[in-house]
Amino acid sequence: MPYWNPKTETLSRDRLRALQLSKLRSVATWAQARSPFYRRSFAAAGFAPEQLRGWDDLRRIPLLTRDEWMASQAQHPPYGDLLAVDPARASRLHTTSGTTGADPLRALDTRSDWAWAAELWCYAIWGCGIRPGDIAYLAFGYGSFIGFWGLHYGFEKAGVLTIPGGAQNTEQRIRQLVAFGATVVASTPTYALRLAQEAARIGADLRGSAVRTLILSGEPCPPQTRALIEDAWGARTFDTAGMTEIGTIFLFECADRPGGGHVIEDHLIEEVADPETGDPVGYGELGERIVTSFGRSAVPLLRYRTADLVRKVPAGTCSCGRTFDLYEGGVLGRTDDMKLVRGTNVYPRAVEGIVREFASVGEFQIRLFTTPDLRDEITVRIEAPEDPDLLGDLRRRLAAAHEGLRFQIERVPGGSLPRFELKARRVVDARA
Amino acid sequence: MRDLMGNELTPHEIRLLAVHRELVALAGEPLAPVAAAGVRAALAQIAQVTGSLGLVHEPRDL
Repeated sequence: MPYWNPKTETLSRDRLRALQLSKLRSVATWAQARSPFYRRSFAAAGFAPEQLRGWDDLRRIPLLTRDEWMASQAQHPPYGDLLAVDPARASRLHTTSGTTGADPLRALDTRSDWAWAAELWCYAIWGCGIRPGDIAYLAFGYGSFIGFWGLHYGFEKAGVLTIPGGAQNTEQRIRQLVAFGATVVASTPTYALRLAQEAARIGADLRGSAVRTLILSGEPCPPQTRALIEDAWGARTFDTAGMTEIGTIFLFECADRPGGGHVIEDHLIEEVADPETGDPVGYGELGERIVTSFGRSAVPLLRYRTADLVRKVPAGTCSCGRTFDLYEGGVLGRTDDMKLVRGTNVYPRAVEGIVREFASVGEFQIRLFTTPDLRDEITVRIEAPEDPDLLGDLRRRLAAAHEGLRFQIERVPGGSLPRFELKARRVVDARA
Repeated sequence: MRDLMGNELTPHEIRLLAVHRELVALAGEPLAPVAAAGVRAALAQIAQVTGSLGLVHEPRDL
């Protein structure tokens, strides 16, 4: 059985829409009855849940932004007034990672919310072929960042032996996962590479280990990075994507690996819109994700603007038989991580994709700065062995992909750039 | 009985929904802590089953 939930993963699109609309009505009713924030925002927009009669009525619901959520948290500390339950009924508190430098969001969850988070992870676990009898190792710090907590519970729920790899250094984790015969490892793409580099340093044979599957999450992962990870581990990678704001994942890659991930549409509505105008965009067009989740009772999320850039394609793009649409290439970047350098758009994910074409490059960093004569410059700092051709080849590849923009390439000593266990922060924007 | 998509419930789905309803009713009873906590935990889990199968969708502060 390739599906976790064969009943809904293979629903006709009409039936799927009917299911989503029914769940949407109940969540909107819950939010209006229980959350002061939503009562206010619904009233201001002239919206009432009773108006949700057909699919197009979805857009009557006002959009929610992170700034609004943060303002609510500041005005009604510590949790804000999106909250739809008494905090005394919550069982856990987690925060966003703070990658963007902004104050982290605080998210309360109930037992029911955590059960839902695990449920969605199970779609991914089952969908990529993991089964009872597998041994899963989570290379993750188990802190207040939500990270892989939901996956941990998903593994347990799916009947997979689960090894929490918290509170250890990278070398200890490698020795453990090899010694315990882990068949599955979960980490960010960046940390999967770091584990491989460290394994090479200490002489651990990952390709000869029992690991056959890597579940990746937490940051966009260009194909070139995945290829490096798969080569180093001798294992297949599966991309997933989630966010603290919904408390779990919204996307998973199935065993057929069609070059993208299925949206878990029986538990979520995912719209894609032009980030400037807010107008919906069609299949194949790049746009911003807008998510509505059905399963989080403490913090209902209705039409939340995520700032994630995605390209939706129809379910039929994949041969697995699921009727859930896909995001081609997963999450492609963020609306707020694009850098403008001398009139050229530079996306860190695109730069990473090119850097990872050069297998001898270990860690890297993108540094933007302003020269004394006020010109913006971009330098890619790389850890790599001496190679007379490497710097020029990389410079030419980056320029060709960025309208001829001049990149400076700087080789730095091995081990001198920061390492990351969770989301990588490889862009340093020091411009005046 | 029909699910949220309009399908007739299967015999297994009818029984799962009955378990859900019974746990909802029990959760409202004045149970001893040992029983109340277990019923809430069980309800949180069965609600995922009935929700994922599209039998019923009822947000709760469990």
